[in-house]
Amino acid sequence: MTGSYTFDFIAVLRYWPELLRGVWVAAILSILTFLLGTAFGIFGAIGRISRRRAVYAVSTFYVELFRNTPLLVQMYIFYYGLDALSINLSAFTAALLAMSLNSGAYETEIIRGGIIAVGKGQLEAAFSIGMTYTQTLRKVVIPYALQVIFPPLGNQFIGIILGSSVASIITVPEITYVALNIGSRSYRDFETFLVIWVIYLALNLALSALFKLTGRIAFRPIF
Amino acid sequence: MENQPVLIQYAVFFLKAAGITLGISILSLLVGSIVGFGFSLLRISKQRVFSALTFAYAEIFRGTPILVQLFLVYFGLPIVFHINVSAFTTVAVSMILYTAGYMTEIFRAAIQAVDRGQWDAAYTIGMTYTQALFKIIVPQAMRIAVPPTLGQFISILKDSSLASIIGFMELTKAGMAVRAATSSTLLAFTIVTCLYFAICYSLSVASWRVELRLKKA
Amino acid sequence: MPILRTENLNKHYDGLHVLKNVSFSVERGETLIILGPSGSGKSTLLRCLNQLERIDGGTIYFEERPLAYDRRSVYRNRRNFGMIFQSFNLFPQKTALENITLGPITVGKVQRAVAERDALAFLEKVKLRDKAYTYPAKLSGGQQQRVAIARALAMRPKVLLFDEPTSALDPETIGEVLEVMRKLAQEKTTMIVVTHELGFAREIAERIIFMDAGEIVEEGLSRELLSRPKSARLTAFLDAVIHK
Repeated sequence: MTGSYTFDFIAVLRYWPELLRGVWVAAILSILTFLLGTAFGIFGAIGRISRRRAVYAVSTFYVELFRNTPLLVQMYIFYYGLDALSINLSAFTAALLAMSLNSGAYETEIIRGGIIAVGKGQLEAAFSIGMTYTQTLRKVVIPYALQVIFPPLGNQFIGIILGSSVASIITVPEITYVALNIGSRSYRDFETFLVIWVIYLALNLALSALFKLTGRIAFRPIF
Repeated sequence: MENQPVLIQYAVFFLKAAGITLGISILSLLVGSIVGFGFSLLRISKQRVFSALTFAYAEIFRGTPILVQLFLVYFGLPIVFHINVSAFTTVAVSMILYTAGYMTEIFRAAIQAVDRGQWDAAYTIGMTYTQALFKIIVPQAMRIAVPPTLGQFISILKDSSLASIIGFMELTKAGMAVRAATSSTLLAFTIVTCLYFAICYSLSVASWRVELRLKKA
Repeated sequence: MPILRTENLNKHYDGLHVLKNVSFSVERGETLIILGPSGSGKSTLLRCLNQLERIDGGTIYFEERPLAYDRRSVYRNRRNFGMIFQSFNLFPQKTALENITLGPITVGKVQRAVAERDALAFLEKVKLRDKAYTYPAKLSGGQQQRVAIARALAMRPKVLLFDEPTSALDPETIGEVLEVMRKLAQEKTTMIVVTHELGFAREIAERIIFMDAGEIVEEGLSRELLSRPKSARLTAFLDAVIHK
């Protein structure tokens, strides 16, 4: 059943410049997505802990909408959907918007979790030794909240990179798109995808290690 | 409102497609859970080989894009194994493989979350590792595993949308098909979005309720 | 012949020497109490006896036969002991009765009807017959611990090991557990009890061992040890506990 199939990776690896360009596009897309997503996340988190009904409702709707619908459909809406409304976005822009709004929804909950994790106890302790609101914010809340949200945000970034592969469907020239291209040209689709499988895995492992190391250095407990 | 008859005409089509989305997701969850459960037992084994292999499996299938895995199965099955399979089989195999990766980790965490004292108590009434594992630990682990499993099911439902890329007819492809047939892009996408939202959000709510009830007990 | 004897037990854990040349013996029918501050290694010692933990040096003799560490021997040795834990460790998804019958049915291959009949008798003994079909979550701490004792007894062990049985209990419920333990001691059950309860120790124990930092510091008859401690460490410990 396994029959004879001679693997030919050289045919794929010849295209390394294109693969590299694909990684570059994916990287830019991911970094911009993360930055925009964090911005959305901060606003969303503030909205989600707000006492004003309207603000809370809008931010909750945003979070639930983007977390309960597929990223692919979101991309289609920004690319084909807006097009039908005569708003012509480039593939990259459409993907960026979809991905950042999507990531923003998840980051809202992460950041909100960080704010909640600080808890009343630490705030009360700070106030009772005479710290002002701003001082408390700067010296107590933010450092601790940052420490809490750092690991999940790191995972979120890796999730963004893995999710960027979906952008290939709306013709963004990132890694998966390049692979489809190379595959069809070289008739070695399987090998091509094996190669990018390894590339994604390597990116994941490298970034995970990097984030763990950064976390350990930045949040080293001071005795 | 000339789109009304279109809506009603295609309503059944969309609902059937939603059913297929649900169906393939349930299938993936069931088979993936069985495989994942088996792997989780190997994962906690003292034999390094089993532990390492299942760890690698979970890391690889959780740490790479699902779309890439889908294409690997799509291109791999016919080329390497000389089998020509339907889109359904491709999608099923791919989704089961990656669900198993996630479920391995979910079950592993659940088993290790059971209080250590339960192992002690089981051992002191004379049970072997296997008896303790299956009679005492696993039943408790299953309860702990329910909320993350529900969460994973919601993810599977959303990820099934990628199957549309290789021509599998599920909810997203239904939307694209209707869009092509009627040129009413917005309407088609709105319906698809609403259906996904309805299914996933109600499951989310159900998951919160289950989690609350489990915490109380 | 002592039913249980250890010779120069040594154990290291995370670089710490948690058991240092521990040697002691227990006679059949005796109630031995092990006292000591936290971290003295007394719980670890107990867990080494029924091989929940491994030792790094020394020998344990049960009925003068040294313990082996292959899987079969470990399972067999554990049957000689019953253990009662500080946090009870009852199986939450089983009723009190089921907690007690699980061992005999699964491990002892006893028939369900026989196991249940015996289990009800044990529940009667710990005065909880009416809670047979109740789940642990609905039982008080003292009740859970008494079910745990019945569970241990159901396997007919030769030695009962108690690891701080009353430390996690409310003061009101400690009494009911001590009552059961008193009865067991009177019936000449071989018991090794790790505890803080000096009053109980004084009343029940024939012999007491005082451990500190992994070694046996003093050993002797309970009356003498508690009223006339010979070592500075034991004196300090007694002072601290009495003045808590």
